[in-house]
Amino acid sequence: MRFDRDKLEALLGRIQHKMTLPRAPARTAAAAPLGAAAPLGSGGSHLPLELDEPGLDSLSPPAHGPGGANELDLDEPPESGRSRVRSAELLGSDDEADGHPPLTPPPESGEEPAPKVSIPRDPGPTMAQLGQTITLDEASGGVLELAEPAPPPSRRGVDQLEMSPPQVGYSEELPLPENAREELDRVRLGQSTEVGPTVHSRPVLSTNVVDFVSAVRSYQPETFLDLLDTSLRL
Amino acid sequence: MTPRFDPTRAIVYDLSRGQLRDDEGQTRLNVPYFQLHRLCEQAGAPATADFGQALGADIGRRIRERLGSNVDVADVSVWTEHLGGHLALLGLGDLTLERWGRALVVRVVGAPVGSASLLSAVIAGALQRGLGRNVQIVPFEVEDAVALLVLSPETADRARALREAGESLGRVVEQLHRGSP
Repeated sequence: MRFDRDKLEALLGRIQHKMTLPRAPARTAAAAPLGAAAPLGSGGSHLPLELDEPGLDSLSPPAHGPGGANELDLDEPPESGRSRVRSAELLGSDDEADGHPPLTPPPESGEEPAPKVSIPRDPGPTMAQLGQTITLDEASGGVLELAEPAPPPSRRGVDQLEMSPPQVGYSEELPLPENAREELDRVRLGQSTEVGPTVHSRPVLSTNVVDFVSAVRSYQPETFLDLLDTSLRL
Repeated sequence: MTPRFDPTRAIVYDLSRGQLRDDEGQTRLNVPYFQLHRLCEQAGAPATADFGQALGADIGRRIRERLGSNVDVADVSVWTEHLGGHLALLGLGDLTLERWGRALVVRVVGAPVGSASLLSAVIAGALQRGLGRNVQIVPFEVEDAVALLVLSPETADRARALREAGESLGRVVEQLHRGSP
């Protein structure tokens, strides 16, 4: 009998310790009523003997039986989700009726209050970071005068400038562009600029047309001996 | 058909005997030019001219023997080939023949420095022996070549006087043409 009491006390301490631990997020409202809340709601004071097992078993995912509520059936219509929520609401209402607070808050209970996070205030730069402090003189009470931007030149103002028209006409000595006559012919013929005539110009003669032929025949020695004799007669 | 110049076995180096021989079996000697030039300067102009005349006479004899009956009717190109070939075998430069109006000019490029007098004697000896003409040479040094004006002994004296007066080859030839009939 004493053995059972010690065991129960140890079990009670373990349960209290578990109550202080944060709940795992996996055990949501859909799983908790089916796995844990139902025995509590039905039996109340009857604790299962499985509590002798190490406490970490409570973190294991609930068993998924062939007809379990967590089993996802893709063929089911979307309304099946609502039925599970409705069953959870019903189970939650039963727990409240029994006086036990629900292990997980119902969906309609709203958002859980966010944990309070303390953000340390920025104390500002230290004196070492600031370095030497320079005291600035206060600004004098002068008035800043901004120069007005120059107005953009208006077209009307340019037109009003005095202009002197050219007094002299085109000089007749100016040479024509090289392809001026060719372009004029193209326009007259109505041809496109890509099509041009093939011009075969007569080559420029580099020799003189007029030549003077001497009446005296130039000397052309037939043999080397003739050349030698001619040179000796000089 | 006019025979071509043939330099085959023109000079034979017999290293076992330590001798140089030409194609006729005559003994040759390979000596540095500057040593020979020094010897000619010490020997004097008449001796150098005689030495060059002898060298040219041997060339004229060979050309005459080679050309045979064609020696008098051979054209300028034939003589350029033969006379230039023999001059090249002696190492006296590259010869070309030029005609300035009626004057004959022998131009030699690449001749040893200071060999104008020797070259003149060689060419004169070759023409005298080869064609039987008494010629004298008036040399003109033009840039990197030596131009040898071929004249008669009488005209050569006049040309030398013009050259000594500072006239160039062209001016001398022009003066000679004006004074000739």
